[in-house]
Amino acid sequence: MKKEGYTLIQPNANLFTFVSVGKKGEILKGVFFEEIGDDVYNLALVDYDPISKQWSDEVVSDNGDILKIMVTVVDIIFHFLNKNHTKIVYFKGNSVIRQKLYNRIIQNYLVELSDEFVVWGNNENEREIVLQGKKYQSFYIYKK
Amino acid sequence: MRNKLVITPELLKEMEANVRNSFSYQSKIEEAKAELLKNKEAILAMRQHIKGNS
Repeated sequence: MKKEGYTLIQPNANLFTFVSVGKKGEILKGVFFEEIGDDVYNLALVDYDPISKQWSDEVVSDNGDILKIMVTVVDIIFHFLNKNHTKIVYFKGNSVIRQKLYNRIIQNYLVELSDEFVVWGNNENEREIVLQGKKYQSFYIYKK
Repeated sequence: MRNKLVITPELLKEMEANVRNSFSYQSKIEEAKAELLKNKEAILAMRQHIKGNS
């Protein structure tokens, strides 16, 4: 990856954490992979509130560092799939904002991702290899 | 401005332990599983592609 993302804190097999630094201060974020089928993993991008001790994938942190977060998420996908060549990662935005974010991530990094990975996009009755500029509801991605 | 975060090994352990009981996570996982079933054929094609490449 040419652009620089956040440094990962103690990445383990399924949970990758990093600190987003921006206009609202420091926010703990995590990317969590959970197995939902045989070698298929759901990706969730979540914020952690150390006071309530809760993760949430519904907050819009608006910390002014979305580009750096996108690079970090792509880095994490690279990291996870390069260690797990037979696994498939699935992700879907659970809100319009999240869906836009995931589409931006895929579209902005499609060239880099396509060098090493195959990215499928899903819409209601349509599954296909992701096309540049087209929006999708959810994605599957795996190592070539 | 929020306080500066202090990342400790205890905090990391707590974060990890709290993943599954936060943010109505299980219902979203169930949704993802349901979508997986709908996409059975596509998943099969992906698996064959992965197998062919390994």
